[in-house]
Amino acid sequence: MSLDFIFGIIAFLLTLMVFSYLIGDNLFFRIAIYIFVGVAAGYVAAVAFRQVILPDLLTPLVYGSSTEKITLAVPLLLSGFLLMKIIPSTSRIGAPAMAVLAGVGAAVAVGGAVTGTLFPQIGATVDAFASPAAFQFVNAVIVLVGVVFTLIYFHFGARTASDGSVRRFGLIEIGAFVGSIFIAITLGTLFAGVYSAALTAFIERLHFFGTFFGLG
Amino acid sequence: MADTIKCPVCGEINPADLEFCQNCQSRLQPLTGPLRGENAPISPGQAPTKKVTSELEPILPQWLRNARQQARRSAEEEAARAEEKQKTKSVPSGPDLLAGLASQSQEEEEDVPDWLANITGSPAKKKKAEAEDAQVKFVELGRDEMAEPSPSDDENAAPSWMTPQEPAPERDELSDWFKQASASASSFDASTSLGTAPEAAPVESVSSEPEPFSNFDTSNSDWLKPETAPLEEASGIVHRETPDWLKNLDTGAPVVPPQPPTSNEPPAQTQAQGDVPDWLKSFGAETPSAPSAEGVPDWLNAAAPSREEPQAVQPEAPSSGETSVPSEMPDWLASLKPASSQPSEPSGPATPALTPEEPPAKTPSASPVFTEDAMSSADVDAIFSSMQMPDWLTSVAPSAQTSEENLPPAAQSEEAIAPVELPSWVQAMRPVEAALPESSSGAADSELETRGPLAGLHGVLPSVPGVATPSSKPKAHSIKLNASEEQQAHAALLEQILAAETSPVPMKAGSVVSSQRVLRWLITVLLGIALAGATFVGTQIFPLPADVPIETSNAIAAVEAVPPDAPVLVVFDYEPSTVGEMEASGASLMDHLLLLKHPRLTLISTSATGSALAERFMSSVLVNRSYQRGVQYVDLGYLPGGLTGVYGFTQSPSLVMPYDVDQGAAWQMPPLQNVTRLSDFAAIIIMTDRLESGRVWIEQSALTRGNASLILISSAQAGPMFLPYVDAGQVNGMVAGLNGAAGAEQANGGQPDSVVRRYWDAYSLGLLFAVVMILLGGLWNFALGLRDRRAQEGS
Repeated sequence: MSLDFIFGIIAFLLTLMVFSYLIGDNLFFRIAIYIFVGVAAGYVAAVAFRQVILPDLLTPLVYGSSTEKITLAVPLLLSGFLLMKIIPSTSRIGAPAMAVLAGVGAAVAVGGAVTGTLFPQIGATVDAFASPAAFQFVNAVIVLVGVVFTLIYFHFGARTASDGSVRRFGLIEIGAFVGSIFIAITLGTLFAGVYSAALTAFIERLHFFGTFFGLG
Repeated sequence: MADTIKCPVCGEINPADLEFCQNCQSRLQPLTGPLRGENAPISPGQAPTKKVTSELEPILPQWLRNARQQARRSAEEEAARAEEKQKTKSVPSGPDLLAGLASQSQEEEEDVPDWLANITGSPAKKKKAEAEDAQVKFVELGRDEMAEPSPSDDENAAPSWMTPQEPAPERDELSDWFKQASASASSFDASTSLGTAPEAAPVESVSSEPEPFSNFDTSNSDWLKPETAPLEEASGIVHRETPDWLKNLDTGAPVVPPQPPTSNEPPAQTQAQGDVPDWLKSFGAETPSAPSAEGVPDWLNAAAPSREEPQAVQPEAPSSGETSVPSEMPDWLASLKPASSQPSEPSGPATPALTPEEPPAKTPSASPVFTEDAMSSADVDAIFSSMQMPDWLTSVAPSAQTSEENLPPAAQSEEAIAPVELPSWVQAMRPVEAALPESSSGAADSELETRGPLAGLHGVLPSVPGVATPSSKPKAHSIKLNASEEQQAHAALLEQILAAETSPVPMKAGSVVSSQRVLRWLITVLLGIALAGATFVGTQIFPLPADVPIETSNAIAAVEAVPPDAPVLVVFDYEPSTVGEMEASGASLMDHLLLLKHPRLTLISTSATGSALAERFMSSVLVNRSYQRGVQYVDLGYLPGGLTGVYGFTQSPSLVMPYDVDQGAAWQMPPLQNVTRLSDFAAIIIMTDRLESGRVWIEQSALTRGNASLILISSAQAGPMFLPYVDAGQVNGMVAGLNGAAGAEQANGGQPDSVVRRYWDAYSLGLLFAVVMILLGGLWNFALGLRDRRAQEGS
């Protein structure tokens, strides 16, 4: 019995266990989930130690130069502070390290969003109206209309009518209706993509079964 | 009247006819009119007008009259005590039992009232005058403390109702019976002090005195017998039991010289008129002239059976000179009667002392006295009407004959009394301008207290509006709830709601196999059969799409633009759960790239499992290209830090990831030759199943990637959200899902054993099945809607 066959049997059983969720939450599904979570956590820990802690921290501290050691003292200290968050009484010690992580992460995210998403997307939308191609112009108009009416849909300001009912302004109501159409199309597209991804994964599992049993 | 009026608030001068101030809108005119006439208030400092109050008493409220009566009663008690003291003082050698009284009277000599002092000739003490003022003040204040006899008063022999209330002669309102009693007592001090005792005590009065006290039983008063015996023997008066007040009177008997009871001489009141107090004057005048109707209270009239009856029994008393003993004389009196008494008198009630048949000899001398100082009969009646009689008197039935018939004309007609002539002390009680008098209810004042310590008193407690007099039986209230049918219906509904809230709702037992679950299983089975059949059979019914998506075309163009043997960075950022889709999506494009350009690959992942998935991809999907790690590609492994790690890698790749997964110097390996920066890579291919990871790489590499192409291989669920980046030119091309991979497969030649081709039939069946299910579900819902609508229209 080859190792691939054993791995194939295990993979087959785990696949059936996951598919058993079709009949509801059951023991086999939970066993498969627990195994997956445990294996994934163990694998991540091993990868983190083997690919991060050992080569980037321990090895330089032991074999590195003094400059590297001094440089690594700061991340080592901050890492120790982060470990203090495990204990509730000493969790405040990890606050500085968390502050550094959050601050740096926020700064990087904001900078990347502005330079990588906001300005390029605004420029692309404006440029689309200047495109000589009719398709590009129509596409730009649709994009603009979709953005505006989608934002209108999320405008919930209203006023009290004479009959006591609370209604939004007429134009806002119309724009919200158009915006709801754009939102429905977007959500339908996303659902189609999710279904397509799941269908592909299911097909891959069926192909595995066919390959394992020599059917395909 | 002034033409202007000054505002009491702001001082503004306003016309007199204005009701409110022009400046501050304060009220200028009072809401109530000014008091006028007799009700006009007295200004502060104004002395009240001196009025004769005795004639105005009938118009006073009952409670006020009662209070005055009680005050008078207290004064009478004091007078009785004074009399006792006088008597005790005048007895030089009394019996041992009365010796203490004499000594006590000496000690309390200062308490002798004025009138008694006048009688005895001693100057009046001011102290008593002050006491009188205090009593009057109490009366004016409406307090009834004075009405209650003090313990010391109880010790006195005379009852409270007998004691003079006001020692002052002008305020003397002694009742006739008291006068008679005082006059009949031969030992009365006043008579002795006047020196005219033999004439001051008429025999008729003495002989008739025992009648009111005939009911007394003196059998137990043995101590009194020796004292009363000489008097009884001398005067013929028979006592068996004498009240305390009478005892005090009797104690003076020894000092009075024995007087012949048969004496018809007129009294000597006229001789001593100047020294006799008013009450004594009235006594002398009233006794003969107003026999029973004017000065005698009702209770005393009751004692006398009638006016006519005494005529039969009375004449013998003065004429015979002997004590008149009625035929129905009590035993005790009979036993004490002298042997000379005549028991053959006609039977009947006790002979009253005050009868119309009084000897007329006394009348001329008494009339002037009565005319000057005596109170009116109405006043006397008013006094005695509210007076509490002793128990021994209450047994006597009141006479039907009222004293009102014999009232003098002035007293009978109330109109003669001007209502405006209020007494001075009443005027003093009237409020000043700051307060308005409250009108009292005459009906309420006349209410008789029937219970409690105030029982028998009239109008002691003023009635309070809203507080009803407690009736004999409390009003019966129905305990039945007075609720209408509608209210009861609402209450029943509320009870049902509350009961429904608390009562357990039976759980609806769901069927083991519900219709929805059956439908779900049915769809699963149908989809599984279709996909399994297409996969296991290996059909290729559905051709690959001829039209390649634009982003896929751009991705193919970007791949084809990569120089041969150029360094290419491949980012594996997907999870193991999407391995099947991601490998199928990227297989064609990567194979196309490796087949055409033979690039040097550098693998990296921001996911911990990415390194293993990368190795799987290279060893399974691209197995046909025979790429070896460390030679054609290098695996940098896991890039920690997420966003920050990507940012650092884009800024300095060699510094952030110096080693590969095998801890070798990655940047010294052949795949990374001449590569130190991100822009040194010819292309950056990002394989991701999530928008976040792909966006991070797009954003963070926008400024550092230089001319390197950015190609996305994404999952179908994240592909639509990467399209804006593709349309904006930030991403050179994208392969999204199996559909995009089909276009890349078309560019790659459409090999029949490719992954995309093997999945494509099953994938197409799955999409068709989903479309059919959506259509069937829509039609089913439409049919249900029509049915419900028809059902509603039919109903």
